Amino acid sequence: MLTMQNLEAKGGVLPSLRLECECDLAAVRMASLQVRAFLTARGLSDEMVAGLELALVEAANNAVEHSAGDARDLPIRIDATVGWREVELRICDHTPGFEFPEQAELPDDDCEGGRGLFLIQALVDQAVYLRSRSENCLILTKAHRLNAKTAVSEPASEPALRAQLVDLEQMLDGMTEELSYSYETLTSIFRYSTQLASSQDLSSFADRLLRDALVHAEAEFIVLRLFDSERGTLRVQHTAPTAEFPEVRLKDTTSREAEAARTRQDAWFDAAHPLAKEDALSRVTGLRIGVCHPLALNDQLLGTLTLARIGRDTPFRAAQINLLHTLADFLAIQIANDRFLQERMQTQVMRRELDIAAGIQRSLLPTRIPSVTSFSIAIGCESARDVGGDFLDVIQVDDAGVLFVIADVMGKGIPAALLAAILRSVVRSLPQNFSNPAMLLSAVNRILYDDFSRVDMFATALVAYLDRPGCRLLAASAGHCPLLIADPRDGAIQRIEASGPPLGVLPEVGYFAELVPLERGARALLYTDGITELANPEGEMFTEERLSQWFAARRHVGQSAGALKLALAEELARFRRGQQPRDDQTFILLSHDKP
Amino acid sequence: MNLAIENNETLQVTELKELSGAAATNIRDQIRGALKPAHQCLEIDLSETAFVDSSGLGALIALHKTLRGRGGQMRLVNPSQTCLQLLELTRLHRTFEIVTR
Repeated sequence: MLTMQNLEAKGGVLPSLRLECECDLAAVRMASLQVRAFLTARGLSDEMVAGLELALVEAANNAVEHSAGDARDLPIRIDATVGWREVELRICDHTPGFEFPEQAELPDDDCEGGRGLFLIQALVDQAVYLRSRSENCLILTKAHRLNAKTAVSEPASEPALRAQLVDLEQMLDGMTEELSYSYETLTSIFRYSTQLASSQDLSSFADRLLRDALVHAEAEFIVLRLFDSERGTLRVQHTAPTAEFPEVRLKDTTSREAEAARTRQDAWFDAAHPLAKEDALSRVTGLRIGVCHPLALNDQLLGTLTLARIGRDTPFRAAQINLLHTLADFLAIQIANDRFLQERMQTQVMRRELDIAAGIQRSLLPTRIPSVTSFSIAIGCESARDVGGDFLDVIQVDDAGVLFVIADVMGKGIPAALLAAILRSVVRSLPQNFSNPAMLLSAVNRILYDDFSRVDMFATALVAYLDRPGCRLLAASAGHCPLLIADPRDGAIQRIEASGPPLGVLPEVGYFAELVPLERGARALLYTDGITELANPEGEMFTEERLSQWFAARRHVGQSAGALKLALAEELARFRRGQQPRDDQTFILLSHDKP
Repeated sequence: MNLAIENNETLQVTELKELSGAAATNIRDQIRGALKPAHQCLEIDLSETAFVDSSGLGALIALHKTLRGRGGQMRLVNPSQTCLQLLELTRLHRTFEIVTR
């Protein structure tokens, strides 16, 4: 069905033709033939007419092919005007519109489609595409040379000018309306930009945005789904108005939302393409027309945003769909932001946790090292970045002795530090056993077994009691690294090994203590595996062998425990050559100093 | 449009007035339907073709691929000035075999 309106007949200044044709390829072809006849009658060359005819067909076919939903029921309007110097063709449609490229490229020679825009641009001098709220308009112009006879040179008559003015005014009105509409949208967009900058939570941002989208797009229902990559589903993040909705599997072929997510393209539904009965969207009564838009950022699927009208079939205008796309872009950024923030917060929480653990570990260190006549004592405790469960204690026992405790609680972070704190308290609560390391370990194990086994933890520990008057060391170990004693004469290293399993493994354990005499010049070293397992950049470990060799080589040097400690720290630093230690390095040095 | 078989190997299409829009797809399908396994050559006479659009070009490319797929060939015969200009504009004159008799 074609309606023709020839402005020329009304005494218009310029010969022009207005046609409205159905949104259908055959109707487009018929309209183009009329335009052809019109242009030919104006005296334009055959070549000129052929080019314009083809450009018109390509443009109008594009409009037909891009129309969706009820836009198919709206006509395509074609205006052809032969001006003094150029011919103008206007093709106005009601499709959602598309991005008109600056310079369309030809597809591969094998491609069966995709030449339309190229042809349009090649055939006319200028192609301007205007997208607006109510319609899109493609304006094609091409210069012509008409001879003076056929050229329009008639002076403008007043009624004709007035008619043109009315047309211009209408266009201006439309543009003003469009501007004010854009202003509202821009205001919203500005607000979103500001909100994006502040680290607002996704939920309230989405809520605000969805409600705005409903108002601006004059829709009644909107639902945001987020893609759960682990489950392969789209779960509901937000709906407005609030509704209970099941999650949808990405593979679900009955779901229009899943279709949009899979194809990364808008999936429409309307009277002509109704929702499947099984589609989750069908649960909303009266959902008549809508669009499911995929949310993606950098090719990564984030979710879908579905906008729909309830109880009426009014099609969405191009500008409303544009708005939906813009809002969806904002949402995508916010969703991606939100995920990034959560990850960063997770890292911060871990960092904080480690700070707390390091604090606990430091607070467990003895504040004062007892001074013992003719003996020197030094401790070393270097926390690793991931703070392990090392702990040491040096306790003065009466006037006669000193108790050394070194332990390594399994695990890292706060749990390990807390258990180390418990271990320290339990040891300190058993002074009656201080001079009997074997009994002390058994008692500690008995007390801690329930707590440790409940949380599946254990600890290795070595306790040594220095009997100062007797110049001897009584030591017992619960699964801990050996105690090393260096002989002052030949440097031979004596190892006191574990006499029982770590604490917290078995409910009742009997440990045995070994007695080692400490003559003048003898030294004892208690350490944790953070020392022997210290790695250099090649991944090589320091090992007990290297530690023993270093310890044996110190026998001739008349150093106090304090000087030895510095030497050991230097040796370890030299070995790891800047490699970050993975575990705490903890040790106690005891030296029976020469007079 | 007229479909004629010149010999056992060649299918000739003549009197093609227009190749555009939805009709282009129909014409493509009709020609495909008329192609027999024995046909190694498809000749489309474009001398009377007054109007071809991008859908029409698409149809020609589709037929070209069909022929190539079976090891045959397609020729465009005596294309009208409009057709030739369009083929040159879209650089498809390099893809198609164009003959003037």
